[in-house]
Amino acid sequence: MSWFTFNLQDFSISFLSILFEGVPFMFIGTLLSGIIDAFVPSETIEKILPRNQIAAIGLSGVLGVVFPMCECGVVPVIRRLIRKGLPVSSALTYLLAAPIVNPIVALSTFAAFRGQHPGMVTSMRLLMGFGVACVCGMILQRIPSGALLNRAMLASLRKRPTPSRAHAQHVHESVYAGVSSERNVVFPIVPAEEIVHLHDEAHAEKRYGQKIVGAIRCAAFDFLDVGFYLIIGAAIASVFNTAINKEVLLPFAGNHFLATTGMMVLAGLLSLCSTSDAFIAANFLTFPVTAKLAFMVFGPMMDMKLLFMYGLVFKKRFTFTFALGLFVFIALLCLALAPFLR
Amino acid sequence: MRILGRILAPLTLLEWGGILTYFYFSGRITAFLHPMFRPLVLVTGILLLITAACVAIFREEESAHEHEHDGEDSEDRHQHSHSHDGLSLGGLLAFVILLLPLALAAKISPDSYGANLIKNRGLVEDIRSIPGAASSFARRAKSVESTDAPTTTEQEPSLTITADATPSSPKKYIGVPQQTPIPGQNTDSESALPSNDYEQPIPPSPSASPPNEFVNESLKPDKSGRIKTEIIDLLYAAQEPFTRKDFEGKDVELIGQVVPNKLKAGAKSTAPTGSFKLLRLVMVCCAADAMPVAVKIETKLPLAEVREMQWLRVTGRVHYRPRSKADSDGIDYGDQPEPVIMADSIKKISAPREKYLY
Repeated sequence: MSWFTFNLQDFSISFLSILFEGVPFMFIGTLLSGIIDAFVPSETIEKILPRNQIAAIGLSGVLGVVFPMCECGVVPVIRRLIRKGLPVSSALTYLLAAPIVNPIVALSTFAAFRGQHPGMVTSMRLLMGFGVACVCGMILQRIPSGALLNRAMLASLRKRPTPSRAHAQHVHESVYAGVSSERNVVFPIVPAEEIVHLHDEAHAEKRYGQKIVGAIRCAAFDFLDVGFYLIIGAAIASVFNTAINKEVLLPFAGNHFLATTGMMVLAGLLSLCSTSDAFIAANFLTFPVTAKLAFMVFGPMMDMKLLFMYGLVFKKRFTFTFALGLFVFIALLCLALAPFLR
Repeated sequence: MRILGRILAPLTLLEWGGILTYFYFSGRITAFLHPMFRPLVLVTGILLLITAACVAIFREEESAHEHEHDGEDSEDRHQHSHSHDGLSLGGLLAFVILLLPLALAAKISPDSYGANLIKNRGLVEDIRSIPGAASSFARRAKSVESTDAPTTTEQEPSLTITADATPSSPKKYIGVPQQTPIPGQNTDSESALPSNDYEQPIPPSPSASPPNEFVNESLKPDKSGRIKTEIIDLLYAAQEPFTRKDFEGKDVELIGQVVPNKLKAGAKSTAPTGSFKLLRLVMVCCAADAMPVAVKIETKLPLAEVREMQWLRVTGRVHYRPRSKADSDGIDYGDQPEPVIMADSIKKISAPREKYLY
């Protein structure tokens, strides 16, 4: 039996079901993004967020408990929030943590691992999700955002109103770190027509009805933006979801290193929703629990569809480096934990 | 190209919204999503249609008023965000990807998985692999439990009909235990079920099998004396001594799709010819995470003209017997026996409306 047998009809079912599952949540995300764009003034985020960067990152890590988001919906929201002045480090922390550190995922993980130490697995998953997200946020905080964000994002940031720019100078290392001249970071000069959805200043005087129309339009174009990548991601994921023979993975079970990395590669390829991936992980009875944890922590942070969707916010090179770094980090973490979790 | 862009954006939203609402109302959605998520598809579909209308109607107003840089309208800028070279060809390609695959997939999808997928996913025959699903049976049992106290008088008559010999004794045992099963419990199952227990077709001594098992509504036989059940219930019972006794030696009726006994190539087919497996797909969220669960069927009936994945209604007697080491595929089943159904009737049926177990 070959390990890879493609069937177009099976593929189409998996493809459609991933879309049907993901589109409603993505749509909620884009609606939220549109509402933020139209109704949340730029200064609000800087006012709410703690001045201390570490505190801000920590807060972003647990924000998912209050504002649960799955990975399809979180990208458009994050994109909008960065444009509204949320520091990239905090944004990425929320992006990574929200699909794991939230009550829905905690419940589904607990349910999925019934009979396999559910309390331990659930708490480890949430803790690791939070920890990894915060560490990533702190690393990103040291990198100027000019090296992280793609051109459209940088361009829209550059166009932000001046008051918050002044404000940014005493918020150490904000998004402006990369853009402001004192950091000596050169970013590509973007023609004005590439500036995407920039409504900030004009909104102050706008009528309420216009604001709503603006929010809907904004949501619609966000939806098309993200939907494009969801389609590509869902297609690639469905190929692997239906064509890979699960048996090829079974021999890996005995070896911690192979089991962990194998499960992580699988998580990346399958691109499951973070609310249901625990059920798939629990299915791998013979695998060590740390390999399942790696699957459930890495999967919601990075998979085929997310790799494409992250491209809407970040530079391509950064996205790939980040995916690789995240893989190595989580793999090492889980391998290090392996002797303690049996 | 600009006009095309203006049409394409609302058109794409229209298509997505249309397909979502169509799948909901045509019922095709049952082949893809858990019931919990289906209303979301309808709501999203309708909202997308509204959004499409909004985008089509309010286009000019928006771009004329608020942007100093209104040299290009939103559609074009949207395309730019896909293709940073500013090529409208790239934008067009983006819309092709947004429009075509969804429509094509909706057209070619047969709405039920083929044998190929089953081979790739592998059959699950251990309920611990899908504990989240934890048996529709357990859920039903729980609902009976919760209504147990107030409705005792109503249930009593049906109990006397179905319970074997002893009429009414305290309801000490209920079909399903209240605590969730853990693998460690297999040590209990050892004491409760000696390995050769399956050779006795009738549940053994009255002390070992309490009479009030049928307190569970779902275990009540129908008029023909059969228990209507699901594959997942039989597997659930395999690791739960009390429930297992409820099934052991009983006639059951269940539906599923047929697959050959051995899915693995290379494994020699030692199974008797009148033996196959009956499977159902269990879904957690959507069809992408569907897992095939299966039980073994043995029969003396001829099965020549049945093709793979054909839906069948099987009736027969359930027996639990120890798993052979060779069949276990390296999975540690502990002392958990496997359910085998000795089929006395096998009927071809058409696919049910709800193809999945949840």
